[in-house]
Amino acid sequence: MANEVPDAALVARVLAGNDRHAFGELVRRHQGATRALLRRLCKEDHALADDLAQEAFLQAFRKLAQFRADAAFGTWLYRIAYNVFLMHVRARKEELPLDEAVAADESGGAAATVEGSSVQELDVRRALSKLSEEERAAIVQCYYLDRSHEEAAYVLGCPVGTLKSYVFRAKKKLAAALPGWETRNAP
Amino acid sequence: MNRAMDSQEPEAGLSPEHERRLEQLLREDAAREPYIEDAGFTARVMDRLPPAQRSYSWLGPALGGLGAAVVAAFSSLPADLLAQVRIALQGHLPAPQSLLVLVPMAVLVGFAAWLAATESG
Repeated sequence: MANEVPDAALVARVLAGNDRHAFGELVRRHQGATRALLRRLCKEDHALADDLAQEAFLQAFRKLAQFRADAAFGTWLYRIAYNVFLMHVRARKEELPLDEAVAADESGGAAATVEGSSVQELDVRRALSKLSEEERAAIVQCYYLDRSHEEAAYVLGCPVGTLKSYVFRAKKKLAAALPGWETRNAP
Repeated sequence: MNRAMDSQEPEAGLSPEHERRLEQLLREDAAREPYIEDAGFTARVMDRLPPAQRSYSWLGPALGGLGAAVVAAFSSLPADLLAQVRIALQGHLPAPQSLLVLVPMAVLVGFAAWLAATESG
């Protein structure tokens, strides 16, 4: 890992010579985290998350000339992935009549992750599915990806204060939605 | 450490202890799936990339070389020039005035060939 070419150098190679191998290396490096992020946002619908991740990487390839080294490539990519996710959510809400959209949201998406998951894991994921898209994205950025508030706000395209509000509201909702988590985790 | 842990925002809803436990719970959940295997994902993305655009940067030097050849052909030197090329191919130094045409022509054609080879590779 110590001799790994930095992401910025790979981006420069792609831009200088349309080096597809360099872009392939960027995809290989970031696919795991990007797909994991989208799986959380998509309420564990893995197939949908992978479709959106593919779209995110294709958009990243097309927009690569817009990448500035003031943000890490991964952070920039997560921002694209989050925007792809939001566009999907908006398109889906436009397609579905309002009642069905609400029902689909409340069903917890693909709750088909039951197999092989611990009770606590399921509890957390069910609780996450109760959050709004923005609140869930804020929690994923801050706690699953360990991003700072500033980085998370950049990815979500909102002010830091707004991001903090999302996190604050999300925590309150999670505490209410996690069954008996206080007693289970009590010292 | 994530700055999200620095609880400087008003946390009216949760006590610091509950907040800490909730954060711990989220991090434990995050740690359950730290990495997702590629399993052909990268290959699928690469298959969907738009086709590579052909680069024609070699065209300028190639046209320059061609132009130099045309100028040489319509000048009073063609026969002389061919003789000088033969001399050069035999490993001797051609006449100095012919170098004014031969050298730029060779450089431009060589540069065009190098660019074309680099970009197709």
